[in-house]
Amino acid sequence: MSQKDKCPEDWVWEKTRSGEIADFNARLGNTLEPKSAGGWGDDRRLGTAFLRKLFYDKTYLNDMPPEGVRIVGAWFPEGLTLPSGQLSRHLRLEQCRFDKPIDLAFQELDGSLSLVRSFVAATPTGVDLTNAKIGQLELDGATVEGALTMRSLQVGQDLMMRGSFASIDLGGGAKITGHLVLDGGAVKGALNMNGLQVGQGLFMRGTKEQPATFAASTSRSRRSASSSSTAQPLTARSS
Amino acid sequence: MNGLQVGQFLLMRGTKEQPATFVDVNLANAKIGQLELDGATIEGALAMRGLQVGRDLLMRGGFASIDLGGGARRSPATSISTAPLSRAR
Repeated sequence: MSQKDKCPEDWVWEKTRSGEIADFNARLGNTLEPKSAGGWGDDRRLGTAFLRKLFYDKTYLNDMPPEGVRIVGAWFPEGLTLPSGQLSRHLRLEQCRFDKPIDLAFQELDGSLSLVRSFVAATPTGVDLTNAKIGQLELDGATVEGALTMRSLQVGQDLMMRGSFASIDLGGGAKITGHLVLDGGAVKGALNMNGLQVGQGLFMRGTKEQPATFAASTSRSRRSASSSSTAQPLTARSS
Repeated sequence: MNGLQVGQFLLMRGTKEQPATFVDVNLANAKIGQLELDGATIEGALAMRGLQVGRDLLMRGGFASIDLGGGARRSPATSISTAPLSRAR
């Protein structure tokens, strides 16, 4: 059986087991733009059940090298649901497309989590990292159309977020031990950092490539009675 | 950003070539090592009541309104550079 005949999951596991990056763009000779819905098919399709198997089935986990799971250019039509567990390796899902939410709430990840240049189409919730504990979190170049919820998140090193987001909630006592980098970032809705602790620097500068735009970086947002814990787009200005 | 704590720098600066734009910034009760807002565009209020800055607060730019009342303080060695305020409180 040739490499191209293997189903995506078998191929990803083979690459992962040998410590390589499973790059669908290279495999298929076609680099897809995650923001564009066109071109994504079964030859790139992965799901939660597969990743759950890699991380929680000892048959796979015992064979997984320290590099962990590194996937480029995959399609997750059902999103990713891996809450309330413990991942002992890196998880890097880059230039991928997610049509439904990513739920990693209460997840503990010793290594890094990367969604660099990935696209999450889901709304109203895009990515849920509530109460997660992550070694390093990289969201550079990512686009999340729904809410990015990071309440009480703990990041052991740096949180890199030079991307485009509908809203970010980093309240609830979130703690970043290293740097928080939002340079060149764009947040269309509310950016809640109430009570956030950043051990080193917090960067929100414009860059040559992209101006930084933060539409509402305050806590003084109007909230509906039913949404007391989630950030809302700011509509009121200080009086 | 109410109650935000930053151990070292909070850099929100911008330039003509590399603009940084914010709408309604609330830094009330925040504790920050050094705060730089040079050249940033802030549309709306800049609330800094109770803000504590350990070192420098750099604010060379134009701001619609700034609220530095309510016990806002900086360390004795701090330098503050501010621009013309279109509407100070």
